[in-house]
Amino acid sequence: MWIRLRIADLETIVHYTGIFVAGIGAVMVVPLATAVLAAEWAPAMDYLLGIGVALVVGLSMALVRPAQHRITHAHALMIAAFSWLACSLVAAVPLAFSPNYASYLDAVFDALSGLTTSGLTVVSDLDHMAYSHNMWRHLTHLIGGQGIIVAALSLAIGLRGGAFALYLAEARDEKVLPNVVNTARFIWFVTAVYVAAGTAVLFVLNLVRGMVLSRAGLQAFWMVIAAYDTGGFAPQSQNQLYYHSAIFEIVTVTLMMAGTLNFNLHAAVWRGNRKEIFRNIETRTLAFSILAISLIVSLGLAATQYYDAVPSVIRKGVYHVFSAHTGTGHQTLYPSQWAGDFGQLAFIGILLAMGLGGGMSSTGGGIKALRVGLLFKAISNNVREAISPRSALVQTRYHHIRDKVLTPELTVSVLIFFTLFVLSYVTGTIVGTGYGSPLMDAAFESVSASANVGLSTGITGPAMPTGLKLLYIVQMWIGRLEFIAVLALFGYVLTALRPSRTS
Amino acid sequence: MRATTSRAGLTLAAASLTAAGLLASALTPAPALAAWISPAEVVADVNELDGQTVTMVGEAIGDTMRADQDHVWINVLGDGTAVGVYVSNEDAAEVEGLGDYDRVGDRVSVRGVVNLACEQHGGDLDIHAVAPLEVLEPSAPIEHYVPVWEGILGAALIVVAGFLFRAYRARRLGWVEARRR
Repeated sequence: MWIRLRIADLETIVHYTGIFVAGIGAVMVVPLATAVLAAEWAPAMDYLLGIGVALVVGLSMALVRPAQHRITHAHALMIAAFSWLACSLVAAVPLAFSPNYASYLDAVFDALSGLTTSGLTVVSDLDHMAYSHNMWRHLTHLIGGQGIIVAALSLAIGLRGGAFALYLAEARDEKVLPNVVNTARFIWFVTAVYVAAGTAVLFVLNLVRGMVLSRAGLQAFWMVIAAYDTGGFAPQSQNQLYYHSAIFEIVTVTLMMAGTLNFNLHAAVWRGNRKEIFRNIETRTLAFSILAISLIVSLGLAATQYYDAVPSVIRKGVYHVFSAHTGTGHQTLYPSQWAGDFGQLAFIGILLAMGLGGGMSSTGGGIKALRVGLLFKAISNNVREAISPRSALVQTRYHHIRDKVLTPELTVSVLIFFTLFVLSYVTGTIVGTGYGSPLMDAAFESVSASANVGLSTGITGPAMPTGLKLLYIVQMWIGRLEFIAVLALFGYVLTALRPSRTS
Repeated sequence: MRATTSRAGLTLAAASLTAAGLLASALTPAPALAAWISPAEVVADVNELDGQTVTMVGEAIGDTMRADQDHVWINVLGDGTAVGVYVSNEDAAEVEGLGDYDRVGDRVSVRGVVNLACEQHGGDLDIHAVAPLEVLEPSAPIEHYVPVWEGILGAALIVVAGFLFRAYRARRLGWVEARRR
């Protein structure tokens, strides 16, 4: 039975969503400043309007009185699902006025893709895009990668009473630090360290390679954000291929790996517990999976007539395994090359890497390495049970920050998430083929959207049918919040629309 | 009369030859050297073009990036697709204007070898220039229409938001008071 939402519940949801929407407006000051500094007056107007719309809408919603009691788990799920959609709708306003987007829907597609750190894009003429618009696109990765709610929590703005429920609703597993506000601040601290270090390295590299100062700095900052937040946007249409640099690829792969690791793991290492990296089930699973898929992709590439040399296997094969597995989506191939030149075995390897995904409580997407590791533990547990005497108590342990026991409840939870992700991948594939795309291309694009990766075979683009745009928007949204929040929102809406039995 | 006939015959013969020449030139394919393709066509037909020397025409965009001591990378855009061109420093000297938000870059002609998976550059799809890049049209600034109405409306909304924020703070204080009571 679904609990019917009362007016007071709706008021709470609207109130907190309003705070996040207003927050998006406040962050738009950064692209506005970029526009002013770069003398981009047309985009400056777009951001003035964007800020105005976001603040008026957000603050009007925030004026609605929230319930007196604490935010419940149900509220938190509704708020998370509704906020991510509302924030995307508002973040799209300045983009919609840029000549790089054909419609408001296209701008929403990119805003949501940015916030969910997917990286699929329907932008056109990206190579002539304003710096300010590029700044905003990449900032959406930064906000969404850490989490819209985490961003608000770290500033401790108006979210007291139920902050932890909100934190969990944004697809996080547990607190890094005892206090949830400090946890949010720690996430931003880790991010700041990686982004600052990465930007410094790429900035110097760009300067050495002859870029002018402003472009060297901006391109470094944007590519670092997109890599660390496992986003996948880039300021040029060739994506990572634009830079033609092995060093650039090594730096960004390092950042992708840092971004896809669980923030709890970052905290453990920060506290001096470096052994955790080697003991943690999640990092072990991730390492094993990356190695195994790299082997599959390398064998696949070796069988092609194009990428059989060792440097090509590494820079086209292993690089894309990392990009796919971490959920980043940066690519050094043209979309049309995936299905043809890359070879079928390597193609399937990349598809698998995208579907499995990165770490829990990270910026990565997909099923997540922890769940994959636990699933294998559960299978092993079942086999052990089958061959043990009936009286034997078979127990499976695993290590994730601390030693834990694999419980039947946890196994069921893992299986539910696994099933939901696979269902989403399959549904997107079926709809994609319905729109006339070849099966494997449709599967690749569907997995890329649901797992928030961003690699594309070329289906995604401005000329894509509206139905497919809407489908991928839903897949990116639902995948980022790991289904439950969005499904709960749908459930409550349906319940609200059904006539009450008591009346 | 004969002379006249003979002159008329010559004229007719000359006209026929001219017509035949024109027809032949129209029907004969243009020499491969004169034909050019866009970067989008290079990517679309790369399996057929791999290893061949082509002339590609497009807009130089972004940055000139050092590849090694003697070469740079220039990315050339056409029909929505850009392709990297590996070119010697001397052969790239003529290219100055690079396309971005404010400028349409130099329209350049690149003669080079297409590589589907360049062994020298880690499997990149690229073109290695074999001749100096020729600028067909110089870079030009792009004029942008500034929608002032957006700015005015935005500023007005921000003022409204200021009042809303004051109201929000006042209400919030009231809610906190009510909770305490």
